[in-house]
Amino acid sequence: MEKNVVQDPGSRYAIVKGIVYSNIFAVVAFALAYLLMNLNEAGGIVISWAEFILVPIGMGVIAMRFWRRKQQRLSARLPLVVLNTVIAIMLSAFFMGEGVICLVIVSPLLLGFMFVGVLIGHYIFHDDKKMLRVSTIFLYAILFFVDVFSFHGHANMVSDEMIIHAPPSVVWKYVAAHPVNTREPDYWLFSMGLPCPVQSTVSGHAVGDERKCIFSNGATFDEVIVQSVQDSVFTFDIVKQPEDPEIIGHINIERGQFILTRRADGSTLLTGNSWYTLKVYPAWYYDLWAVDITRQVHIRVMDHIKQLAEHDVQVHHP
Amino acid sequence: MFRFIIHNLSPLKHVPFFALWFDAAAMIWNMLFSPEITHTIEEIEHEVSAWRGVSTSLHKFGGVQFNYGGKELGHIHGHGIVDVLFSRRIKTSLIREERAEDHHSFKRSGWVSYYIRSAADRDGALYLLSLAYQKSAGCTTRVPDTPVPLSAGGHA
Repeated sequence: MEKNVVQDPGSRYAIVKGIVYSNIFAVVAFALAYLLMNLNEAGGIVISWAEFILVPIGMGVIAMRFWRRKQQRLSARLPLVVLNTVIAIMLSAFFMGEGVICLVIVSPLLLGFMFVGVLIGHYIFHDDKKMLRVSTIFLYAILFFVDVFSFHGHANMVSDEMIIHAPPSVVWKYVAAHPVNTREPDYWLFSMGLPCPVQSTVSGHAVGDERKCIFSNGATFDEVIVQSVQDSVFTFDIVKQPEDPEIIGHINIERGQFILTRRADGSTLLTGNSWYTLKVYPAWYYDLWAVDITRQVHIRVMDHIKQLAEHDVQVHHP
Repeated sequence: MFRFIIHNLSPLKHVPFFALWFDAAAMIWNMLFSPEITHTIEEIEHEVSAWRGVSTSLHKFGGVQFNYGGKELGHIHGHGIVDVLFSRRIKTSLIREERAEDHHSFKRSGWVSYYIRSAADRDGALYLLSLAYQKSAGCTTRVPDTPVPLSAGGHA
């Protein structure tokens, strides 16, 4: 069963060759997809599943082209796949300037798909499977270019609610603008260093006035008020989003909204809505993160509004 | 967690590439935290792929697929589920004898599932695959209670 000891002479540098050639492929394929895709896209830099799925699969297949010379169990390849993933992530950090949290988020995707590539390589690199190899490469190229030239515009909306024990007239005072939030974040990604919202400022409360949402690293969203119904609805469009190496740089946040609803007991139901478009794919993976992070941004801002409004009520209407 | 996803979120397998990623993730998880399952799967793959006429490929939803004469005998997912295809009559018999369970997704079919949780489950999985192999290879003799020794080019 165990065949670790059987090696052919060509296996001497097989591991190094597998790592080197697969990473050269990754850099070239990633650059090609990145350039072609962003010639085609008008809404900012998009990184799609050609980069995040097909490139790691290709890396795994190419690596396996060399690693298969060492006759090992499939499970013995795992440390090599992990090593190759780490190298690929370091290259991403170097060439793309990605932030640490982005790299943490992307690593399970890269590792999983690189292992898929190794599995594909495990089954197609047999002498009697030349047709299968040719078909695989052909299918791979079709998928790559179809994705690169496809439109990517996955949009989503996240909505959250919070009850505030203060009337809408008091809550309204803190919806458009609020002072610096000094409370330590309790969401794990914020604690790890993902920028979190700390302050909002406005030039006025009327439609057309400017609003700024400032994050903990100084990144600022420039916004314009598009709807302002006192004690009821406040909506703003994001007109300029900061360039950020972390995940907020990979989501196009387009609109935000607060809705204040008076409850029977005089308190307020505050609803926070955000609309965004993803700039990273596959959506089935990144949208989970985008929803979770957007939700945590909502909760932090709405909780800050809640603290301010309820404190206001206690001080002025004890 | 894997069982929960397989039983409750099976429509996710139609999301492009998700099933392949999920299966690879499950395989990596087992390699790290349940190596006994991984080794058992590798042993079964090693054994079955040595049977005459059997070839292996990557299953469309992830895992190793065993083929004979251009048709699938069965497959093993990375999290340790062995799925084997039989006629409905044989499936009913196997479930009654508690040698297999109803398939985790396709209830109204001849597919059965068998869960590898430890090295002790190796023989049970091999029994099912050898039974499917014998049916495909045209053997009409009754399958004995113990796994058929089909290794290294053997034939039923």
